[in-house]
Amino acid sequence: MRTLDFQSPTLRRGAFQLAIGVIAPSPGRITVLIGPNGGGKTTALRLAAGLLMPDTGSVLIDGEPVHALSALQRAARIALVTQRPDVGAPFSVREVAALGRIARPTDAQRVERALQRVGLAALADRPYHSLSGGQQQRVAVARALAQHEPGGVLLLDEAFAAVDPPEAAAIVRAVREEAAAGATVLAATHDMAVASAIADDVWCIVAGQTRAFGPASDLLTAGALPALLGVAIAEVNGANGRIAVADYRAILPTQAP
Amino acid sequence: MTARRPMIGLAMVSAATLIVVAARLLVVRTLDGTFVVGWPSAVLGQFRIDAVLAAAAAGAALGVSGAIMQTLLRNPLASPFVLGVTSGAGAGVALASLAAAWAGVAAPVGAALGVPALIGAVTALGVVLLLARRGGSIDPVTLILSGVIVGAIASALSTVAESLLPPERRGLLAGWLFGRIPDVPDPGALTACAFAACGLTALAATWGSRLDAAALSDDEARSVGVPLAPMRTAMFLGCGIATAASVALCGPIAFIGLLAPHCARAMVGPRNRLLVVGSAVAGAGLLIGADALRQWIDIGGGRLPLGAVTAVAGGIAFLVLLRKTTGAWPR
Repeated sequence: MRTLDFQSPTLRRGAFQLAIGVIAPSPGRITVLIGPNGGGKTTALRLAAGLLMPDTGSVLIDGEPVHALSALQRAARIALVTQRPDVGAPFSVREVAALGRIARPTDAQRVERALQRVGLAALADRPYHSLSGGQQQRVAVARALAQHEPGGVLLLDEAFAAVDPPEAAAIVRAVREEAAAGATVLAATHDMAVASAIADDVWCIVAGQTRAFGPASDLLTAGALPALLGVAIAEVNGANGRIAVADYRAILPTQAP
Repeated sequence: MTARRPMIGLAMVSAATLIVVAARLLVVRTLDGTFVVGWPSAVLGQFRIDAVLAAAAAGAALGVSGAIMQTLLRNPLASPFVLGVTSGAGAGVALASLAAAWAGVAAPVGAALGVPALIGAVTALGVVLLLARRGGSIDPVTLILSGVIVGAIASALSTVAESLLPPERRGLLAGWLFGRIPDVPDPGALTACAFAACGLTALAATWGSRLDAAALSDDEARSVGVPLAPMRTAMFLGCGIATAASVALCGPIAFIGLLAPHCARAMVGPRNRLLVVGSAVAGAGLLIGADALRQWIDIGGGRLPLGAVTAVAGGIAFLVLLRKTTGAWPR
C-alpha cells in the first residue's frame, strides 16, 4: 500500500496562499475534500499529483517527495481525474481509456474492465466527442482506473460534478472497491450528498487552510458543517443512514408570496 | 472517424502516393499542349526523378510536422503554414539574402539556406506560441489568429527584403519565394530535408503513445506519465527543423502540412504511431501531385507557380475545415 503525506506544503500564487499543514490520508479509506470554490481543493490535489511544486514543505509518497519523481514513476503510483477532462484528438472511447496505460505495458483487459466498471463497455467504439458531458466524465474515470494499480493513490477532482446519480453510482462503486483493495483515495467535491455517500474521512479546506480533518461521521453533520463552510446544511434520512445536503431554502432569501 | 484497420489505411495512403509518383514520372504535357505518357531520355528522366525526390522530402517534412502540431496543440487547423512557421523560414532566407547583398557577398544557396530558414522558423513558432498562451494554456482561436498574423508579417518582411535587393539578385529570390520543386535540387539541401523528415517521423512514431496522451489536458497528460514540457520542446524544435529544411529545398509551400494529416487521419485513424507515418507519406504524395498538376495545367504564360497551386487548393480545404471544426475537434 502506498502512503501519502502532506508535510506542511505551502504555495503562493498571486493573492492566493495555500498552507494546509500536516495531513496523512489513510490508505484503504476515502478522504473527501470539501470547502468553498477557490479555497484550495484543486491545488491540494495537484500538489498530491506532483503537478505543482510547493514553495516550502513537501508532499511525500512512500516517503519520497512526489514532485521529485519522474512522470513515469508518478504515473505508476498516482492516478488523477481532473476537474475538466479534455481530449484534443478524434479518439474513440476505448482509445481515451487506454491512455491510462501508456506508462506501462498496455493491458487490453484492464482497459475493458475499467470501461465495464463505469458502465461504458457498450460505448467503447463510439467517438469520444459524441458522448454527453457525464459520459465523458466517466471515460476520464475509466482512464484513471485503467492506470491505477491496486493499493495506489487515486485522486478525483469533482469527478461526480457532471454526472447523473445512476452514472455517479457506478463511479462510487468503483472507487469504493479500490479503497477496499487498499487504495488511498482523495476526492474533492462540492456536493454534500456525494460526500455523504463515499466519505470515510473528511478534509475541509477553506481559504487555503485546513479547517478540519477527521472521520465523516463527526464532520459531515448538520451540526459541524455550517461552522466549517458557512452555509446552512440540512440532514435527511437516507436508506443507509443520514445524508447532509446544502439547504438552499435557508441560504436563499425567501420570496414573499 | 476512426479507421478500424490502421495498417490497411496506411497501405492505401502509400499506394495512392505511389500512383501519384508514377503519374509524375511518366505523364508530361509537351510544349504544344499534348500529353505524352512514357519514359524520356536518361537526362530528362533524371530531372523527373530528382523533382520527385525533392517533392517527396519536402512534402513528408511538412506532412509530419503538421500532424505533430495538430496533436500537440490539440487543434485541427494547426500546421507549419497556418502557424506562420513556413513564412518565418522564408523571411529568414530573404533577410539573409538581403544581408549578403549589403555585405557584398554571394547569396546563400542550397543547404546553406537551412540556417536562416531555421532561425526564421523557430522565431516565428516561438512568437506564435507565446502570443497564444492564455493563463497557462493555449487558446485555439488566438493560436490560429497569431499564426496568420505572424505569417503575414513574415511574408511582408520577405517582400521588403526582395524589393531592397539589387535587381540582378531579385529574380532568384522572387522565384524561390513562390515555392518551387527544383528539377536539379541541391544535394545537400535534399539530403538534409530527407534526414529531417525521416528522423522526425521515426522519433514521433517511437513516441506515438506519448503523443496520443498529449491530446489530454496538460494535467491529465502529465499524470498518465508523459514528460510534457521536454517532449513538446523536442517535438516543436523537430517541426521547426523539418519545416526549415523543406523551405531551404523548395521555398515556402502552403497547406501541405495542414491537409496531409487530415488525409492520413481519415485512412489510418488518430493514433499517432501510424498517423505520423501516414502524414509523411500523404504529404509526399500531395506535393508530388501538386507538382504534377502544375506541369499538366496550362492557362497560358507557361507552367503555374507551385506555391499558387497549393495555396488555392489548400486554402479552399482550410476554409472547409474551418467551417467543420472552428478550431476544435468535431463534437
